[in-house]
Amino acid sequence: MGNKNINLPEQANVVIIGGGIIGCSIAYHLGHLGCKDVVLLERDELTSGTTWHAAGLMVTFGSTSETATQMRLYGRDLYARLEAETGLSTGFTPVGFIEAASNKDRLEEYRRVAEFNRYCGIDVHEISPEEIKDLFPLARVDDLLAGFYVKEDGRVNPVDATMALAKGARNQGVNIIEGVASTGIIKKNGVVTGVKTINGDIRADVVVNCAGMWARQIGDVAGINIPNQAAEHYYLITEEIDDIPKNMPVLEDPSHYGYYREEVGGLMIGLFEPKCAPWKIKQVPETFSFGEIEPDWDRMGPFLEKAMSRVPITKEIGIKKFFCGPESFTPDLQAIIGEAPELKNYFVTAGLNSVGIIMGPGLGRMMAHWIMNGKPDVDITGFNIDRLHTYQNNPEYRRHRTVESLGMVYKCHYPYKSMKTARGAKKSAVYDRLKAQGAYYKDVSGWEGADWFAPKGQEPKIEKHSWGKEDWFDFWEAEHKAARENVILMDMSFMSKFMVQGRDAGKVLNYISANDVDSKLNRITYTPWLNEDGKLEADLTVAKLEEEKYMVVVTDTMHRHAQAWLRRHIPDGAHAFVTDMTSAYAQLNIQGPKSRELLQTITPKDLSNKAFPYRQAEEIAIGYARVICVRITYLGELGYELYIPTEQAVHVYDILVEAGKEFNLSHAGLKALASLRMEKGYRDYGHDMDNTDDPYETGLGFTVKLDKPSGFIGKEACLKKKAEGGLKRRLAQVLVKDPEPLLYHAEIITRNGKNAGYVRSGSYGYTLGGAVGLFMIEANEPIDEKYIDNGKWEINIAGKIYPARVSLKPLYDPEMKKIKA
Amino acid sequence: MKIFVCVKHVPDTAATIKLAGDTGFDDSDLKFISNPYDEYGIEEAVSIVEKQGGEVVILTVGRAAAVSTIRSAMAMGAQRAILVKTDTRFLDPDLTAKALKAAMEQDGLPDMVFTGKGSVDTESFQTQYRLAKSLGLPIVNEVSALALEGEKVVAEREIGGGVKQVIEIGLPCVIGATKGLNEPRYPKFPDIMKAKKKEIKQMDLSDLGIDASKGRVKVEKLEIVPERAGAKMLEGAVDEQVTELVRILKQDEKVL
Repeated sequence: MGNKNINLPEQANVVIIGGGIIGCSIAYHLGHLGCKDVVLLERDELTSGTTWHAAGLMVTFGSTSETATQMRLYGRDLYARLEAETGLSTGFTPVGFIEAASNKDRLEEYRRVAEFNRYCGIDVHEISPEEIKDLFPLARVDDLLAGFYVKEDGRVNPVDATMALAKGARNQGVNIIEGVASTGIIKKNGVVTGVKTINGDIRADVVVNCAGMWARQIGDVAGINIPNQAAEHYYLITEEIDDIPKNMPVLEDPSHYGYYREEVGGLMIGLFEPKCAPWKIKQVPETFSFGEIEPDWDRMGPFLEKAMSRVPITKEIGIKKFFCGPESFTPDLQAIIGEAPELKNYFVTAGLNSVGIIMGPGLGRMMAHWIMNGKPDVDITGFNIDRLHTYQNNPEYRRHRTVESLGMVYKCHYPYKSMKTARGAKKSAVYDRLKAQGAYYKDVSGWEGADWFAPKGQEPKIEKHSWGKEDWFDFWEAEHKAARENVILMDMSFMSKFMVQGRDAGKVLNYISANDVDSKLNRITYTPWLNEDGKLEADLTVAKLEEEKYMVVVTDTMHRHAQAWLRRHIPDGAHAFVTDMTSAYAQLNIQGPKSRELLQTITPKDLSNKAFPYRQAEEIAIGYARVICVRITYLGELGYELYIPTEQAVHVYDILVEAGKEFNLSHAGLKALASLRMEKGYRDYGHDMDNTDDPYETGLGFTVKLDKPSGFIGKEACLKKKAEGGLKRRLAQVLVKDPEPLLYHAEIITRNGKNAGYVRSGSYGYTLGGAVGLFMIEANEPIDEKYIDNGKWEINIAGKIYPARVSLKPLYDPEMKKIKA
Repeated sequence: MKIFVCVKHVPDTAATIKLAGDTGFDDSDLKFISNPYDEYGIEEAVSIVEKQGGEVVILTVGRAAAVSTIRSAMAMGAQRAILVKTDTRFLDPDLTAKALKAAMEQDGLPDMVFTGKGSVDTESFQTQYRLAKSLGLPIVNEVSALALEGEKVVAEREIGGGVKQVIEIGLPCVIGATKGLNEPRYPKFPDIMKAKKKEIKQMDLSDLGIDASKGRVKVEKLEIVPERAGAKMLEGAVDEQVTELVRILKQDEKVL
């Protein structure tokens, strides 16, 4: 086998697998960063997988992720200037782009997005239906409310764009080899060391899997979890339309499942139908090149009819082509990017969910930077490969989830919407008990998480999603108040738990942690984990249970990241061993002013403030069970976390509920957790802080123990940062003074009328009396109390301005009186 | 006017064929289409019926999956269809012609039959002749222009060297269509949806008393046509390119 005419290099710095837009963009950017020794392997011809049939929209509007929006802007810019550099046109034509809003909720969503996109530098205009008609005369606009128009956006030719990137890469010395398939990898001690191909092996320091819809299969061979799945994706091309208006922008109407643009004198209609069809669940054929799938007219007919009704002339003219080709989708519609937690120096950039052309340049730039510098320079928490779990790779999971994921592209992205497919993958031991209490469940990293509880006699369901207060707003309030004023029970079994044991366990953990986690026995410590640059890799708690036994608890989304970070930072020969205990312990929270009183009735352990102070972590007896009881809170009250052996969880739960009757114990869900912690200003990694932030900016300076004799990873960077003095970025709380509007994410905060930042995560502060959020203030001067007090703070929510209060200190219980009571 | 159009379900000409075994190919990921020459026949038949009234019946001998091809033919305007099913991938042209004839006889004989000038998969160029012969009808193949004047059919065909032959025959007859005859229409969405509800009468080859194993042609072996050697791009000014081209043709290829 193999192509005899090809001489493969024996060695390379970086080997990229896959010659689509992504692989070529990474190659291009690596070349420009001076990484000359780059080999790109394409099994057939460049673009032959998915890129060749991409529609090529180049749209900057639409995302509330700063990272993604900056990538979109960068992409548009690169496509526009690549011809000057390479001599090859990308086919970029800035015909403009209109996102149409056909109902009130869409309008609310796009207004929120538009405000955020403007903040990020996109010149987006809200236009009237008449203006849409002027720009796109073939559209029916009678039922539209508005359009969101970006004049500078448009389209590219995906094949030309890829070829231009490839040429730019070659000009920088990148070796692009077509007709050579990768068949496996070579690894040693958890580090990738090379690639196997049909033409022989290449030794490599870094391997990047950009194999698109084949990425999962190529990952499987290397033992890497890449749960993307190919799905049918359609577009239609009409025959030529007489006197078609010139220079029409691209029009998109998600409520009609379609986007519309001119194509050689006719129209192209692209479709994102609400329910889609996964393709080749078992395996994508290795030789599928420039391939088409037989269109399923029966399934697509009704969706197509609706899409065509937006541009009625499409029904009256001939259809040249109804194209179906596979594109790959992921469980949460975020791309799969970054260094594999299973294998060092093995990177993945795949699963682009139909935005590969838009994101290609930005992802290429970011990945090249990551590969060259060892760390990404943008927030990657939302699409880091290590957020995904191996069960999501199961055929059954992909079969069910993919049906929903393509359609999600065009759904109204209501803030409290949860995926409906592939549910019930993980259930806590008390799932049925909570269900009987009226729990409304949402997907929490695959777990069924009780989000809120319906009162007796009411069914826990959401009739209609909304951008305003939904029907269950008052139930949420009751849970919030019960935690503040009385006592609640909350199941957080989904939290990731690791036992770190051995003679060197304390030493190892203390070096990874910025805080001192190895001081007193039976003490729990909140700490960030930092990288060498002093940026946050994770935040978590470490409980010293015994001299050689520590429990690390980290949030569900950071499970594999923390696990890989821990494993990779245990020095060779150290006597320290990590065991994933997530399944071994249920975690029930008893929180609120009455929590001690309640717990004391069911345990012989003295729980008085003196005997069992804040941060105490100790095994106690409840009923027939031994439970690790930790006095700590994530919602700002006196409270306890109980780590219960899974098989005894129901037993302990029943005892708690029985004893709780006397105290009027309430059940509370994760919505209450979010609102309670937000009032207290507790941080949530991956939501309101990320890998580009440091502990000082995020208000976690108190956890950084610079004088710790052991030192810690990131100490030098922290020292440097501290020496610089006054912080020009600081995470702060924002409270909307009007109790009506709600905060979710990406609302813009202004100080004296100038942009100061955007809400990273938001919730509702029932105790504070309004929506509350956390945001990063970015200023040109040091940010202190005076800076806060001297500013007139306002917040822009979907285009309306509201007065706001901003604070660096927690707005709720800044002195921690409640917690230490 | 009753017109039969014989349509063959063939692999897409743009598809990459992967052989499976000595005499088969893998069609699991292969896109199939109407034989392109047959589409000229469909268009011509539909145009005639649109003008004169009558019906167009699509007639296909092929695998069950040919239904998708038949639906797209019907979306172009045919009224109904008959599918004679066989699992055999390469049915002998003689048997195919017999099946077509038997199906026509069962349904009622036509005033006109259209076929393509040949099929792009097997390229036997026999079926239409065998069919015409067995029906006792005149045939003109490779027809690139056609006029119907009462019972008279004037067919034009290219015979090479830029020469056109004009043949006059009477109805009923068989016409083998080729490029130039017309520009096949693209179906409209409502017609595609309507075509889903049109009748496809299905029967097995054996229902017509034909035994697929009794063919006179047997496929012994399939081979992929070797790829042609790589193209060479000439660079530089036009004069230089021409000089280089003449040199290559004379010295390297020795064709001048």
